[in-house]
Amino acid sequence: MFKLLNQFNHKAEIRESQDEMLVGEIVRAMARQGHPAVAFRAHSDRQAMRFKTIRDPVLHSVWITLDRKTGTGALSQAVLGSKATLRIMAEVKNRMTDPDDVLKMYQTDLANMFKMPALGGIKLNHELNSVYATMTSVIEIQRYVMKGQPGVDALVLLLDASIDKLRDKLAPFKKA
Amino acid sequence: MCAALPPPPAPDEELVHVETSAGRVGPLSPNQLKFQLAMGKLGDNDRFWIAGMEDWLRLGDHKAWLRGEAVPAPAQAAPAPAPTTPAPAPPAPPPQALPDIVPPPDPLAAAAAMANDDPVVMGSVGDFSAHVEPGSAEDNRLDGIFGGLVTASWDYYEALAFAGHIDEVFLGAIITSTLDSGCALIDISSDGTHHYLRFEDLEDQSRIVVRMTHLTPSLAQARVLGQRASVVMGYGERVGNFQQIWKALKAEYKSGLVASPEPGTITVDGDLSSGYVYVQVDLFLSIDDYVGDDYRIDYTKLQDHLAATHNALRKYLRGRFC
Repeated sequence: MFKLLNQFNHKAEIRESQDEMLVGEIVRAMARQGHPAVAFRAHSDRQAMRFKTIRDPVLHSVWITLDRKTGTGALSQAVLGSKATLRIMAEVKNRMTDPDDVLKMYQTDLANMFKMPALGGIKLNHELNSVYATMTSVIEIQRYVMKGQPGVDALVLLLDASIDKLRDKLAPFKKA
Repeated sequence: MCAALPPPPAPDEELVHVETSAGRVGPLSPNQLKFQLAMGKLGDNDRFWIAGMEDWLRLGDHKAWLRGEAVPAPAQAAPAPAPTTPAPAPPAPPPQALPDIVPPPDPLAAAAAMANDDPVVMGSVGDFSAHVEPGSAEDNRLDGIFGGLVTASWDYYEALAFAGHIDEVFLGAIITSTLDSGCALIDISSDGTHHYLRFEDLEDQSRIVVRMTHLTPSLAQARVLGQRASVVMGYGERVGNFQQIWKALKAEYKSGLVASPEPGTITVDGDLSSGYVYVQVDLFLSIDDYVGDDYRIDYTKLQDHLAATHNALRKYLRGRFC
């Protein structure tokens, strides 16, 4: 009876931990690309990590936020799956900013007020020396965790493609 | 070849001609020359000439003499390349020997003396609000200095940031290493300074726990002490029956009597609901040993140290509870 109870609890724990497993795989995938993690803000169902893109010619850092929406219980996982929003925000940092840049920032911020990043669009945001591009998508966590190497490969593909898109969007804002 | 250097002119005598890459400057008095040297407006490779010298000489070779800090240079000064344009014929110095320039003991006093004795020097040479022709050599040089100040500021900013987040670089390295050893991350919480990680080997269901606190988050602390972290490393296994868990809970109670664990103290934690027993040890790690200034991580050393700790804890747990 004691063993059975422990087994049940263990299964529930592993089911609830799938978003953390994905976080671990993201950290490892980014480290293999040469982007070490430099910040963690993590609690229950929401984890945010910042990675320093050391050798990237355009990007200064990338924030990845995983926010689990469904699948913590056995029933919700069976019905809805393990859905989460994956928000990737890339940052370009310039060493100098002048008043012309500030004017451009207001124009871009105004244009971005009507964009919906949840639908896959890229949203830009200027903050003096930094320009950010953000992309949000809804993912199925189980596609990437506990699937062995194919799951890891799919995750790397997703991260690479997203970061490439953000880099292209930010490249015009990078000053020499 | 030039002859012996003549005595330096009086502090306010505008007799020194200087040729820079941007063109000719002067004639300057020794006071004006001192100011331009202090401001970095003249470089070592610029050449100077005063009446009585046969050829132009490098400033860098005779700065002390020009500042009046030394007796006149040796009789045979080093030859200098011929000037691109011949020197003008400035008036000859007065025949009588001039006293050497004796500099005041500190720069502030020198500046005050210059301001009092020769306000023209401050107005004409030290006036940094003067208009500089855009695109001129002087403009480019000043741009270079400003760029250097901004770059140095960013370097300092980056050093501050690095000192603050090196623990998180280390945390990422622990995650990567542990995943590479076949475990999955099953729990993470972090507020930026205090971090908690829990891993599980999904095959044998053993667990690894890491609790870390960054002890030296400021640059000053890090420079003096090195980057230090207090780390609790734990290892857990599911034990077979209630009796073993009960034994672990008793050990956990005794562990609670350890008010402030010291390095090497092993404590026990039992979890009745999941049937896990954890043993953990307190360590102080030097993060510098694993993470370099350029963010390079010594994974070999880190994996070795993690493996050694887990091996010791596993042996303890199995010897005591299994």
